[in-house]
Formats: sequence, structure tokens, C-alpha cells
Amino acid sequence: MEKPQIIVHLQKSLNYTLFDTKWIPRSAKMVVLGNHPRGTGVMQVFELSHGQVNLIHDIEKPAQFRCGTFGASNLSQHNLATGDFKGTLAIWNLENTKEPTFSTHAHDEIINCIDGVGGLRIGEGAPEIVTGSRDGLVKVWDPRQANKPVACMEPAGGENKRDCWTVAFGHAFNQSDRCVAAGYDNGDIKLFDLRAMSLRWETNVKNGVCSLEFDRKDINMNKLVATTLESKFHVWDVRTQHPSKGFAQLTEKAHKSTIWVVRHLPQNRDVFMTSGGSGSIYLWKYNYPSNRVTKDGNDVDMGVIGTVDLQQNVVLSSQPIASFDWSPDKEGLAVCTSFDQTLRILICTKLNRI
Amino acid sequence: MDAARAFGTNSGSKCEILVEHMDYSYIEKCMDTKELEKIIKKLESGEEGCYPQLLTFCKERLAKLKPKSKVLIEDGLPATKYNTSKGEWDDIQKEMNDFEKIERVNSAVVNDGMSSDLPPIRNSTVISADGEKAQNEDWGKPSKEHITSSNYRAWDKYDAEAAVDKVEEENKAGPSKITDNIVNIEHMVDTSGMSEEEKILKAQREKDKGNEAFYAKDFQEALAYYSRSLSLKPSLPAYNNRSLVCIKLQKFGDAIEDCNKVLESEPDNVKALLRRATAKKGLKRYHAAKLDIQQTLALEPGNKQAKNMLADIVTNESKNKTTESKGKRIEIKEVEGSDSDDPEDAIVNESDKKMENDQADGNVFSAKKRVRNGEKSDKHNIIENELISPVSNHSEMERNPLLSENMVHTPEESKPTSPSSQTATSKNPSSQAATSQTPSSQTATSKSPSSQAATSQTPSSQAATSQSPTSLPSVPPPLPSSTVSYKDEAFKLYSSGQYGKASEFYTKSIKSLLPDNGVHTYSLATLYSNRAACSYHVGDLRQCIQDCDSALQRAPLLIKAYLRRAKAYETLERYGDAYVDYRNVFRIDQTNKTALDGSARCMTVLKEKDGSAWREKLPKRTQAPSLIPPVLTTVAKSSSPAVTTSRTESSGSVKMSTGMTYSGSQQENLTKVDVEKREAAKGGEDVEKVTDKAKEKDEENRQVELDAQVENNANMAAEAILKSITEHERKIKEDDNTTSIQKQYQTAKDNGNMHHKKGEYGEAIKCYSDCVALDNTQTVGYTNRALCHLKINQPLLADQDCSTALKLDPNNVKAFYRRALSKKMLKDYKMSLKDLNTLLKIDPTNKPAVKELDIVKELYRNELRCKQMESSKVQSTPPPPGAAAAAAAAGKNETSSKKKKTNRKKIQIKEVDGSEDEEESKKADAKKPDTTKEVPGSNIQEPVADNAEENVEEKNSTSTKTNGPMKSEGKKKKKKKSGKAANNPAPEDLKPVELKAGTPFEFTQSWASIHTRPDSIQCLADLLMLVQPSKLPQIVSHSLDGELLTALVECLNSVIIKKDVDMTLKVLQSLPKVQRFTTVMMFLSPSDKTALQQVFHSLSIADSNKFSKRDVEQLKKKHYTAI
Repeated sequence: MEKPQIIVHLQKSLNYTLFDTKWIPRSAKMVVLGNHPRGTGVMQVFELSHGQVNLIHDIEKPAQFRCGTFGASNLSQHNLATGDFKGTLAIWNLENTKEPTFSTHAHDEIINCIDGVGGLRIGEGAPEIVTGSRDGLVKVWDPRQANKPVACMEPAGGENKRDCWTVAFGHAFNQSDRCVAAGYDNGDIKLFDLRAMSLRWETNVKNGVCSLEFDRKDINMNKLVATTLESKFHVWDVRTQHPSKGFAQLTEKAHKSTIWVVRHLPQNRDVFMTSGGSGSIYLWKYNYPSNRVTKDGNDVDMGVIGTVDLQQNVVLSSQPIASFDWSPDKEGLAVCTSFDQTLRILICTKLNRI
Repeated sequence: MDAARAFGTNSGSKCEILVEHMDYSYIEKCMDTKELEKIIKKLESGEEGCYPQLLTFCKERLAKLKPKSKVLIEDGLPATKYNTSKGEWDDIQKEMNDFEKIERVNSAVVNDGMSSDLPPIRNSTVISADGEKAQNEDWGKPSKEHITSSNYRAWDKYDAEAAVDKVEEENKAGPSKITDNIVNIEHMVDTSGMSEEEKILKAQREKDKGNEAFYAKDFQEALAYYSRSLSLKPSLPAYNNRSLVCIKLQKFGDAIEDCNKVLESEPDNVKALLRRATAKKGLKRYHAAKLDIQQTLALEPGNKQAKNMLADIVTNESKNKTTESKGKRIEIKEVEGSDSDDPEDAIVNESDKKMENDQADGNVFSAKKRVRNGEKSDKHNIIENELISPVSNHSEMERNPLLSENMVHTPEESKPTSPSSQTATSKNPSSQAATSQTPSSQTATSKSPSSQAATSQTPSSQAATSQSPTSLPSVPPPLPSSTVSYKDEAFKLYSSGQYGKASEFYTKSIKSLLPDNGVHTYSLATLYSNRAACSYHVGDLRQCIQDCDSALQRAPLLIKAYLRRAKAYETLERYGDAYVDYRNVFRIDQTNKTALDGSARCMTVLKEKDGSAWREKLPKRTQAPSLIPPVLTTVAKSSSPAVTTSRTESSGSVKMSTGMTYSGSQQENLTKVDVEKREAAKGGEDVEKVTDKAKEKDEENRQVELDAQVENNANMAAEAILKSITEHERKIKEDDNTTSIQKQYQTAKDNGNMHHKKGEYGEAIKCYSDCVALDNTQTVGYTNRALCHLKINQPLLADQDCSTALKLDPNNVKAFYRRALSKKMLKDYKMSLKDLNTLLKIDPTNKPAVKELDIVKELYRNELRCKQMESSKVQSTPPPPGAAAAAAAAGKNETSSKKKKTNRKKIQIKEVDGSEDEEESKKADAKKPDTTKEVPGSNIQEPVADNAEENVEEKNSTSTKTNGPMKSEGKKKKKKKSGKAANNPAPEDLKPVELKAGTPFEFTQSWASIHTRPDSIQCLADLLMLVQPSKLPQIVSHSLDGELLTALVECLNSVIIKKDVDMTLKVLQSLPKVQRFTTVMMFLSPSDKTALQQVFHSLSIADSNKFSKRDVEQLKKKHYTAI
């Protein structure tokens, strides 16, 4: 079997710092978020046409954009939710970007991360957005309610607030169940159950958690991947939670640098890409063990972790790849940005043969 | 630097890589991948300098040892146009161009369904992000209930049990915290407000989820997601995949429905066909499954899965007729390669792999198939026949559930105990002969490879063959030796799977026989047919057909040749010819499964091909002579006319349907029964012998049961055996089902068996008594009643019953065995032995009897010994009452322990008389294995060496582990023995085999082992001889105490001085150097002192050139100053 190949289909140099990029659902367009050197935020929409990346919208806003998601959007109107350096959560209709359709002062400091669920027919239940910020809070928002979050995860003490670097939705397989995973700069990973409104599980991976993602948002949660500083990533089988041992886990070293992002292939949850601080991207495949559940000594179910296989690894840049996004509509198509101010359109071949 | 290096050497290579190791020669030899990885890291770090060549060399080395090492992962560059094949690159560009149009294609306005059906906004909540760590101040600290180890008061109050309970409660509470793992996913999706496009999208997504869940073996979830996908938008792949999931979940009905939906719109969907076949197979609708597979094969003739499944179904079908309960095994694995349609490409790969595997396994598979079809293996045929007959019973007897279970056990039972299977099959030669054997086929079978094995293996079955009513007709002259050797060689090659070479040898043997064509017609035919088999396996079907033709010219009744030709035709897809051949086989042997299946197969194909008039299109070929084989005619003539009629009927009314198996075999059985009945009426000896054999088999089963019960596996085994008994007895019933008494008898006996099975022995005895009252000429009632009596511990009654049975039938093995058991229980070992010996004369292969013989022998010897001891030793306690009974129990236990650990080493605990010396005991040792081996055949009275008896004792002691009450018994015996040993110390016991004095420890050990013995002085002398006198101080060192010194002195005085004067002196010289010598000397008793004086005296007297008297004097002084 031939290995999958990673091809740089197109690339485009830009003149600002790129923080995040996302495919616009049901289209060949992507939106890029960043900030100009002069301290303003940029939102640009690019389109693939005739083998070229063409800029079709260029929007400049006063606050620097840090992150964005279409997770809570609907299919027709492309409602991009963004978080910026000032702590504002805004939702933009890309057809009309003069004023945001939704805007709220969500956090006191920069919003590092954002994720959405319930939109695009992905995930049952109401559309919701989760934001994580340097102020140590994780807030869940309903686009229908601007003034206050529907859930706020904050440390009770108040003094031990850690910088939240990443958030992810998951477990949204029916109307009521939903989970949020949050990763912090001290290596804490916390899993909040939005149904029970409680902390379901937590762990510490010793290094700051750069990125977290469930393999799929809209299923009974299956796997969770976390990438950290110092070139390690962790995979948990979150199907089976043992009362004392928690979830089964594996740790893998890669990239020889910070692993910035992990993104699962939307068409196959067992394939994911990690991107590293040295400008490399690694394609992985998770293999299930022959039996995912065993019994411990007391006859309590206990998860069994599988293995990850490296499928392909290439280096694209000398700067960290800070964002990566698989196209939801075309298997193998992806976009990534790096701090060398370049936007790259990638194609992974033979993903369906892995 | 040097210091660092030195440190490196000290700390070992595990944590530091030495600079010396960064060397070509070291790396080349290094096998430790971890170390290599470290070297690479170190080299890459540049701490020791830059050595690019060494680094690449090291990496190459590591790549050889551990190609997947993390260190070797190097980021490549993204692929470009030049890395991909041209077509691929173009495809990618084209796909991308298509993708760019995605928005234009789907630009239709999508209805925004979000507003209406959304769940309400959550109430705002604050979740504390603090985990246990932050919330609980005491996290990680010792709990308040913690009691320090020094706090004794608190410990006094501590209630350990309460604490344990608490922990248990916590444990109970723990897991219940997470119980919502079972997740209900709705199988339907609310599609309201969704546009068509959305639906398609979502359906696709749900199907992906289903696929993923399927890969993760989460079948319930997969089913849910496929259903969701279908509820959104029905699609064939989803149906197809759902059918597979349903199969996995054993919901065969649903699976078939799904497949049907696929096939409605796509009648040629191979996967759906295969899956439907699997599902039907799961539902045991084999016929329907076969049809599907055939359709698949018509579409895709090379489909391995289909072929495998077909083979499976054929076997399953035949099995299912005999074993209803076994049909649950489903081979889903085969389909696994093709589980989802959408990621089809992925699956293609998998199935490719699968194909390769199949090919690799090709040999094995074909071998298996051969056995399954039972063509080559007559033995198998026999067993199959055996299997068929109960089936017909089964159909006759209104589907008695018990019977159907019987059938499950028949084949199993005949396997593990080969003798029993032989006896089981021994019936068959007669039946076979009655049905299909012409002289030619008889000789043919005896020559065909596997049957040779089958017959030559077993003397009993051969005997049976010769006893069978169809005595062999005039045997052709023996084959020339060269032919035989060729043939043997060919057979060897054939059985090892080297068909090509086997074929060559068959050719040779055929050539060597050709001149004698007239004489060895049948042998030639067989050889041809065998060569045909070889060519079939090689794939040379034309040759195969030719050979079969020539074989059939010579022996027109050779079933195998027909079968092989039919198979060849079938493979060539000449189904018409194949059908004709199968029919020919059928004319000769109606029970032939392969022919049945084959003809059914061909028929369906032909029907499909030629429609309803397919029969007319059959090739007109010379059909096999439909006349009944000569031998059979004679048999039939002499028997009742019913036989012939039934025969003709059967051959006439045969219809090509699966139901036919039943009718055919049924009639087959009838004929057999008739023949047997007639002969029973005649009272012919042969038949009696046959029934004897059958009884023996029964007996065997009985005994197997006994053993099994001892092993506490009684339930399983007893059931199995009882079933086989009932089955057997039903067969007997068949023999006599004309008389009503017999029927009553049978029912009474069946009832008895039932009760016996349930363990209601009293009831069983009543039933058997009824049997006896009905017909007191049959032994079965008596023997069975005897068994029940044995079970409820009434050996006397059992004995009586057996004796009656033996009066009726002096060769009844069962009765002998049971009488032996009852005698054993009555402690009349002599009689028991006698019975067993007679039994073994009748049936020397009876394993349980042999075993029992061993046990009883030992018991008998035991008893004799007890008596001996009683008479000889007045002083010892009389043998405990019930010792024999206990011993009997021990005997039983012994069988169990024997069974459990057959390869356990026997530890010999020897009891030796004073007169016996070591050599003799060794001889006895050597003899021992022989004698034990001899036991089965040897006479019991033979006075075996004592050790045999010792074995019993030893086993008794081991059996105490398993048997509680036995404990005291074993102990007593042991005590007695040790007492005896103390009474007359035997030299064997005292042999200081393990004396060692190399180190102080060894010396102390040796001394400790000998110093209590009466001959310790002698031993010590031996010990001292082992020690170099000069080293004595070190070796004796601090273990010197008064006792040792006394012994030493005495030893010197009495032994060593006589042997070696120099030695004495040297010992004496070194003694004062021993630590604590002076102290110990002070406590010497006067007698020891005189002994010491004596030593010196004799030393001074002794004349030696090695020392002078002055030395002695000096030494003497040294010693005396100490005193």
C-alpha cells in the first residue's frame, strides 16, 4: 500500500500575521484571520478558482482577530464567530461584514480559542460557542443570547487562574448531552459536562496544552487528542471512563518542537494531522485495539488504548504552523497558515486507503 | 574531560554514552537500539563535535535494527508533481477544478431551519473549574483518620472490619458513578425543515459515522448511524452496510431485508448477494444461501469469499442435518473484507490482502475440503454413514429432541478415543458391504491411500471386516513389489500435498501394471482414479477426466472415479456432465453425501441455465451400470424380499432435492436393519460378534463415564455418554422393533436411562427391573441395573446382576467390568482381578479396564502387605479399620490424579530392608519403569518389587490433598514408615551423598545433616577427608562447638588414625588455629580428653617418616595448654 502523499496545492504570501484559518462550509472559500503590524485585525476571504487563490473580501477591524469558527453557523448564512485580542466575541455574516450580528465583551483578556457546535447540522441541540481566554475562564455562549454566557467555567478560588489555550466541543450526539474540553498553559486538561454542568474529568500533561480536539463532535465521545509544548501529544479513549484510572491514554513524541494544532479528518475520525513549531505537519492514523474495553480486578470496565501510526510527515515552512483546517466538503483538502505569513492549500492523497 | 569519562564508565552505559562508543566498529556491532538512538542524539547535539559520516552510519545501522525508530523519522518535503504519477496528478487537478465549482452547483438557497426547532437557551450556570485538587485542601495529604504507627491507643480502638466494610462500600459506590455509558442514539432523524441538499449531506455524514463505528467494532452504534442515514435519505451503500452490521449483530432477518432492498434496484450487487447468503446461512436456510452464492459466482466466478462460503455451507448443511445445535457458528469473518461500500477503495485493499492469505492457505484449504467432502477418506465416509443413520432414525422417531443431541456427540466421541471409534466404525464394513461394495471396490478401497490408513491402523476394524458377512471374494494375486513401492511412495507424496510428484509415481506404477492388465484390472482402476485425484489437485482437469474414464473402463463401479470426474466437470463448468456423474455415483451408493451435494449444486445451475427442461439437455453419456452389485444381490437374495424392493424403490423415487438425503439414507438404514434382523434371526455368529463389538463400545463409554465422574466432570461426560448409549440402544431397538415386548422393553430401558441420567438411581433400578421382568434373556437390563446398584453402593446386588448377565452372555464385557467394580467395592480384589483379566482377554484394548486393573492390582497388593505386616509386626498398631476402603477411595483418587497430571514425575519413597544394599535398590529403580509398563498385560500375582507398593503409598499421601478424610490415614502410614526406618536404620538412608565441604556454609550444612545420625562419626570422617587440613580453620571457623569438637576427636581417635596417620596429625595441627578452639577445649568432658590423649598416644606410637615425635609433643602441648 502506498503511503498518502501531502501536496502543497497552492500557496500565497500575505503581509500580516496569520492566526487562524477556516474553510467556509459548502464552498471552495476560506477565511483567514490575523492582525496587521499596525495593530488592527484582518479578516480576508479567499477563493480557489482556476488553480489560484484569489482574495475576494478584505476586512479590517480595530481589534486583532485571534480565532474563529463556523461551528455554530447554519449552512446558508456563513456566520463566522471570532474572538479577538480585546476579549470580544463577535459573529459576522460574511455577506455583510460592516457590523457583527452578535457582539459581546466575553472576556477581560485575549480570547485564545473558540469552538462551535450545533451548527452546520453537526451535533444535535442548540448552536453554541465556547471561548477560552487568558483570564482563565471558559465560557459557553448561545448566539441567541448576547448579554451573558450560558455556562462559565471558572476556578473558584480566583487566584489560581491559568491561561486557557484551547477549547473543544464534543459528545453532542443528542439534544441534551454535550461536553467541553479545555486545555491550560500549566498542562491541565479539564472535561466539563454541559448536561450535568460539572467537571467530569481532569488530568495534567505537565506541558502547556496547545490544542485539543475530539475526533468527532457529534457522537458519543470517542477519542480526545491533546498536543503540548515540548513535542508530545496525547490520545485518550474517552469511551470508557474508569472510576479511578480515568481514560486510557497514549503519548507520542513528534515534531521535535511544540505541537501547535491537531485536527481530525472530518471524513474519518481515526485520521488526524498535527502541526509543529518547526513548520512540519504529521499525518497520523489511530488503530483500535482488538478489544476496547477490559475489566479491572474489581470487574469494572476499563478502556484500552490503541496505537497511532505515522502515515506521512513533511516540512512546509521554517515557522510554526499555527492553524490547520480540513475541508469539510472535500476529503484530503486542507488549508494551513504559518507565521512565515504564508497561506497554504494542501492536498492529502489516498486518505481513503489508510 | 577525563573525569567525566571516568564518571561515565562508573555510571554504566545506560545513562551515558561513552565517547569510545561513538566509533564505527562499536556501532557496527551494537545491537542495542536504545543505545544507538542515544548515540545518534548525542552526535546530533554536537557536544562531542561534528561527525556527519558517523551519524549517517549510525542511522543506517539503526534503520537495519529498528526501522520504525522515532529517531529516524525525518521530515520530508511535500510531494510535487514529480513525486506522483502523471495520471494521479491530473486527477488531483481535475478534482480540484470540480471542487471549485461546488458553491455554484449548490448555490440553491438553503432554508434556514434553525429558528423553529431549536432547544431553549440554557440557564446560565457557573461551573467550577477546580478539580478535586483545588476543592479539597486535603488532597494528597494523609486523611484525618490516618493513625500514626506509634499511636497505640488509637490502634486499640481501630475497628479493622468496619474499615474494610467502608472501603468496600466506597468501591461499590465508585463504579456506579459512571453508568451512562450505554448511550441510546435515536435511529431516526427529524428531517423537518431540511432541504434536500442538507439531507444528502447529513445522510452522508451519518453513514461515515456508521463506517467509523463499524471499524471500531461498535456495531450497535454503527447500526444506529446507518439507520439514521437511511431515515434521512435511503441509499444503497447504507443499506448494504447496515445489512453487514445486522449480520454482525446476528439480526439475520433485518440483514436479509436490507439486502433485498439493495438487490431490488441492483440485482447484480455482489456484496449484497454475499451478505444475504451469509444471513441466510445464519438462519440455517442453507439452500437459499447456496442459491445466492451461486448467483454471486455466476457474476464473479473468481470470488474467493463466495467459494469459501459455499464450501462452508456444504459442510454446515451436512453437519446441520446431524447437529442441529452446532449450526450457530457463523463465518462472518470472510465478509469482513468488504464491510463498507463507500470507502470501497480501502476495502479493495483489505480484500486483496485476504485473497493473498487465501492463496497462501490454499493447500491447507484444499486439504480441508478433501476431508470435508470425504471423498478420499473412507473412514470419513464411514463416519458419515454412521451419522446419517441416526438422522433417519430421527425422522422416523418423531423428532425426539434427545436424539438430535445425540448426534452432536457421536462424531465427537468417536474422535478422542480411537479404540472406541474403531469399534464404532467396526459396524460399518458390514453395512458398507451390504450397500455398495463390489469385490472391485473392496479391493479398491483397501488400496486407496487413506483407507489403507484407516484399515491398517486398527486391528479391530480389520477383524470386523473379515468377520462381516460379505467375506472377501477371490482376491487377485498380489501386486508386483515395484508397483507397490511406487504406489506407497505416491501415497506418501499425495498425503503430504505434493500432488505433482504423486501423480508421477502413480504413472510409474500404472506403467508397471499395464502388462498385467487382465489380472490387476481393479488395481489399475484404482491407480487411475488416484492419479486422477492428483491431477485434479494439480489443476490438470483434462488429465483427471481421462484418468477417470480409464479407471471406469476397468471398474465401472468405482465411485471415486465418478466423483472425481464429476468434480472435474464441475470445475470446468460442464455441469451437465458433472450432474450425470453424480447421478452415477448415486446409483451405486445412495448415501454418498458428496454426490448428493454435488448433484444438487449442478441441478440448480442447470436449472438456471436451461430452464425447467434442463433434464432433456443433459448429455447422453454412458451411464453407470444400474445393476445392483453382485455381492449385494447375493445378500439381498438371501434376505427378505423387502430389501430389494426398498432398494429399487429408493433408486427409482430419488428426486434431486435436499429432502432426498433423508429418504435415501432412511431407506438405506432400512436395508441395513433388515439384513441385521435376518441375521439375528439366524443367530449367526458373525452378527453376534458385531453386536459384541457394539456392546464393547458401549462398555467403553460406560467406563469413560466412570472416569469422568471421578474427575468431577460427571455432568458433561455422563450426559454425552448416556446419550450415546440411548442412541445405541435405539439402534438395537431398530433391530427388534417388530415385537411389542421389545418395544416395552425399550421404553422401560429408556426410562431407566433417563432416571439414571438424572441421578435417580432408585427409579432407574425399578425401570431396569421392569426390563428384566419383560425379557430376562437380555443382558442390557441386568448390566444397567448393576450399574445403578454400583452407584448407590450396593455392590452385592450389582454382583448378582452381573453374574446373571454373564450367565446369559458369557462374553459381556460390560458385565465383567461392573462385576469387577462391585468386587472391588466388596474388597474381593482377587475376584475383581479375575474378572478384569477375563475382560481383557475378550477385549485387550479396553482402556478403562486396563486402568481399573492397575488400580485393583495395587489395592490387592496393598491388602496383602497389610496382612503381612499384621502377621509379622505384633508391636505395631493394627492396621486401621477401613484402611482398605480408604485405599479403594484412594485408588479412585489416584485415577483422577493420574489423569490430571499424567506427566508428573514419580517420586520414589523407598522403604528398604536392612539387608538390601544400594546397588540392589538401583536395580530396582531401573526395573521400575518396566514393571509399571508391564502392568496392563502382566499377571497380578506376579510379585512386583516393593517399590510398586511404595508408589501406592506415595499416591495415597498425594491423594490426601484432595480427600479430606483420607488425611489422617496417609499420615499414619507415613508415621509408621518413619518409625520403621528409625528402628532399623538402613545404610541407604545414611549415605552422605550430598556431603560437601568446599565452603564453611557447606560444611555446616553437611555437619548439621549428619550429626544426629548414629554413624555420624564415620560420616564426619568422610567429611574430613574432603577437607584439606590446612583449610580446616577457615572451613570449620565459627561453627566449632563442643559437639563438633567431641565428634572430631572421636572421629580422629576411632577412624582417621587407623586410616591415615598423617591426616590425623595435620588435622590436629590445624585445629588450634580454629576460632574459639581454646574456649571450646575448656569444656571438653573427661571422656573426650582421654580420647584426645589416646589420639596423641597412638600418634606417638605410630611410625611415620613424615613427622617426628617432637612434632607430636609440641602439638600435644598446644592442645593441653588449651585445656
